[in-house]
Amino acid sequence: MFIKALLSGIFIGCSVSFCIITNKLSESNEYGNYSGGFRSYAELDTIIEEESIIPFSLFRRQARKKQP
Amino acid sequence: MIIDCPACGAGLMFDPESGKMKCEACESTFEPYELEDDFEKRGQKELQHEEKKNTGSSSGLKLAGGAIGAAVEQAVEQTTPVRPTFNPEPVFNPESDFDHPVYDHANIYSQEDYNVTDDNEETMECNIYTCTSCGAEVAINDVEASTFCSFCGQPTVVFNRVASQKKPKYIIPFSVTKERAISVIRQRLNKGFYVPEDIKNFEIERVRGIYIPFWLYDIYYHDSQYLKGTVGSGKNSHTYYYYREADCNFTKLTLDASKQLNDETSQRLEPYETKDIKEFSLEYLSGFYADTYDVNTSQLDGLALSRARNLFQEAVNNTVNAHDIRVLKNNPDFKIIKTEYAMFPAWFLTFRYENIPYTLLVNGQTEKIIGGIPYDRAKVTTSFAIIAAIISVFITMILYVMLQDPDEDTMKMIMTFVFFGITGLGIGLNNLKKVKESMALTSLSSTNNYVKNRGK
Repeated sequence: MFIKALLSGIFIGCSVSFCIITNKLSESNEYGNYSGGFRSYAELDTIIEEESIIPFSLFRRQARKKQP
Repeated sequence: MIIDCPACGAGLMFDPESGKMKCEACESTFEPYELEDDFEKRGQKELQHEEKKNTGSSSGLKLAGGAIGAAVEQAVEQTTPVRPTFNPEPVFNPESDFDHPVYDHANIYSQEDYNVTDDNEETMECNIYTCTSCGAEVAINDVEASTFCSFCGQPTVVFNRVASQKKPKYIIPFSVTKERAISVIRQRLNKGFYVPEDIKNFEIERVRGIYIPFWLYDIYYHDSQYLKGTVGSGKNSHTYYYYREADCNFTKLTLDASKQLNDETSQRLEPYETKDIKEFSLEYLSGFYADTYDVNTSQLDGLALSRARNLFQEAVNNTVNAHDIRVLKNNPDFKIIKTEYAMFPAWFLTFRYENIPYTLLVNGQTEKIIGGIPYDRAKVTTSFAIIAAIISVFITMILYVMLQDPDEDTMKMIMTFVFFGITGLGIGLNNLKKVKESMALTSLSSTNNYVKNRGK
């Protein structure tokens, strides 16, 4: 019982610690990720938006009927 | 050619702080466009003079092997490729123990080996430019448009490269000074807990302000897509279907036009604020290095469309309120409307750590720093061990108590802990991978050579 708890505890402790340390490392030592996202270059002119929970084949048939 | 100060005749350089041309000698300042007409006329005269002399940058020379010094000497004396003389007959050495003739080392190659049109032979192409300040013959590569004279240190613009051959349409001038770039990097390094002390007190090996060539694309993109996404999680999740049809006009989508600079590095410098873009003028180059493009638009069209497609998809996915989004069917239509050539600024700062050169970049407009720094292994290991020990003891105690009387809820709780552990491991590995990739980019030899192989 104790061994199971200990092994699980060590695994979880090391994983969480690894996540925290690498996160801090990224903040400390890594500079300038790519940030030239969509907004830097354009605006999206959305013409049509449809959404549905019905099966795809039915949805597609409906969408085709609505298209000009 | 040097841009002369109208007041005292010394060399003018572009000052990022004031946005004007400044004379280091008499501290006079001028608007860049004020001097444009005079500079253009002088440039054209010098171009004609160089063409008459026939030792200007229009005559490229191919030479076999040798250092750049030797190349300059030979280039000054000769204007056509030269095959070295040789004697194909062996030189007999009677003192040799062998009974076959001994070949003199210098004559060991045959005529064919010196064929200057042979593609396998190592050659070096260089262009010779005459400094208008001191008259020195300076060797420059195929793409340099602005540099410093290796002999007198004066900033010099290779007029014909940017006046006629490959004239940019736009430029974003430097607004970050060299001192500010160094200061910004030092401040950032000092904040880093895992940055080694040797790096925090680094000695700068080289700082270069370089205008990087870019192609700016205007692209029209239209697509109609059927998408699938998941709303909710676990037992409450549902699959939804979406239809999106949209137009998009990309303006000034930037693509790096230099073969030597790594594309990942130049992409990370983005975004540049194109509202500050100005019509190109030669004066902005003075005091900085600059390269003309060596990648044509025909080589970049595919990449530009790929970027436009990815950005479009990112925008469409943002309109879908679901996760695990997949495109089921689409019908894209696109057109490249125009391409324009521009130069954008960046500071390159090189230092050494454990005998490896690292190059950090600073966006010359926005002060964004690009790079990955090596970490202090001892600090990282100690921090990891301390945090892991504390969390392990805490979790072990909780689990031990819970396992005394295990029921269904207890097992669910334990599975949640284990799930957090696995997720943490995954996130940690992803973070470490990104840090290693950044470090690899910063120590890339091509970036170091991009900075190193320049005059002063």
